Amino acid sequence: MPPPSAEDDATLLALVQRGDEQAMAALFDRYSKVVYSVALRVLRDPASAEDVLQEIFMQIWRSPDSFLATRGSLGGWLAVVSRNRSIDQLRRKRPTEQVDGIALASNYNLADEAERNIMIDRARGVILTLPHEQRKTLEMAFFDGLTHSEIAEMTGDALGTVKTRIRTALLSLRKAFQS
Amino acid sequence: MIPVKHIDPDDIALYAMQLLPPDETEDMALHLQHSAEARRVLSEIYADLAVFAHSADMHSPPAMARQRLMKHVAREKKALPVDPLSSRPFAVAGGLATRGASSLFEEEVQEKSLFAKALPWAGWAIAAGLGGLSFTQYQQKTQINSTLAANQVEMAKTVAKAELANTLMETMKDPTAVHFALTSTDQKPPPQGRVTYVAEKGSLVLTASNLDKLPPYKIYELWLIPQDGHDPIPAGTFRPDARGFASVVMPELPKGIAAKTFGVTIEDGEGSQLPTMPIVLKGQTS
Repeated sequence: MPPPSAEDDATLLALVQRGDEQAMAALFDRYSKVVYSVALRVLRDPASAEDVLQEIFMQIWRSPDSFLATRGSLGGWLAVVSRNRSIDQLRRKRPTEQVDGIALASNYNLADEAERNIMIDRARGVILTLPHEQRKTLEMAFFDGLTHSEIAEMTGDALGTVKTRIRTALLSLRKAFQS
Repeated sequence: MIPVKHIDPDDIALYAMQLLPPDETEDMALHLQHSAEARRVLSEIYADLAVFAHSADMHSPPAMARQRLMKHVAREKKALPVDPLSSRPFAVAGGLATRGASSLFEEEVQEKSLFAKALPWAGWAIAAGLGGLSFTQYQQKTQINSTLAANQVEMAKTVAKAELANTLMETMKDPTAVHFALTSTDQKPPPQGRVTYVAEKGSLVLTASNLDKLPPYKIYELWLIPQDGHDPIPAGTFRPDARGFASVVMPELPKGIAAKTFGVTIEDGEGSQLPTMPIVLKGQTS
């Protein structure tokens, strides 16, 4: 059996568009762990995390065409959407759609399980190399959904410092990955 | 010329994480519509965030999650029409991002056609009208989708409850059910449990009595010990009532797992993925 590739994501989505349930199951098997884990990290509640998981995969089933249009990695996209949906749930907000159509400039083939695992290990390693304040600020913003004002209030740092720290942390992350 | 407010580059990351206040979000959305460079930066930030998201500890979803999804999928089995609203402008951001020379924070100048020069305000008015109409339609569509989704969730819950009740009856009456009596070596008072388990259906009922009370941060957890030597599978958590009685009815279990035995442990919080010794109740086929 050939290893899965980014093309396989597109093929599976095209099959889902035609109502193929097996293709849907294959996408679930491939990405449910990441989607669930990100939601669980944000919500810290297995039942709520599964709600987000079900919601996102049902969205794929209902509108696979909107996923086909995204030019980046489906896996990366789903990880970000899982985070955003979970934050929406924390804030008791209606799901926001602003991310759904945006391309994701990823160089990683997350359809491949081996590559996905390598990236997970690498991401964890690189994040540990970030200065503590940067890592903490990024975690508060991304996983806890705190605004820069809320973070500034909690840490006592200036607003501008918090914003810059978030951006710098992301740039450091990218740089470390590219090196 | 399209007027665009000054945009702080740090704000693009906040926008990507949906952390900007509504007014700044609108300004940023407008800026993104008119700046290919800003869209390129945003897509890079999304890629960074995707990497960061993967740093979360990985957990497999509950065993029944896949089955639940596929049930919903089967329930919505239909030919899905292509939704024209899903072809949003950002969907082609990758293609548009070739305009790399444009500056992120400068106003972008667009060439005006002769017609646009002659009728600039009429063009803007039409564009605004169409924009307003599109936004209203999009809002309506979102609202309808939300209502539909809520109804489907309610219906799914009702169906699930009915299925649970049926499965419970079938499990209790199933002639192929294997019964396990759980006993303790502790003689006073002796906690007891009884598990009824149908491997083929993955359905299980546990009743237990004379259980010790636990501190609020502890919980009993039932484990299925597979016959094939694989790791124990969590089969539900429970707390006894004031009389020491507890039950687990139809926990989420994979189908077709033959049980060597069952065990009960005491775990922290809401349960664990691995049993913590000692085993307080141990199973034997009865």
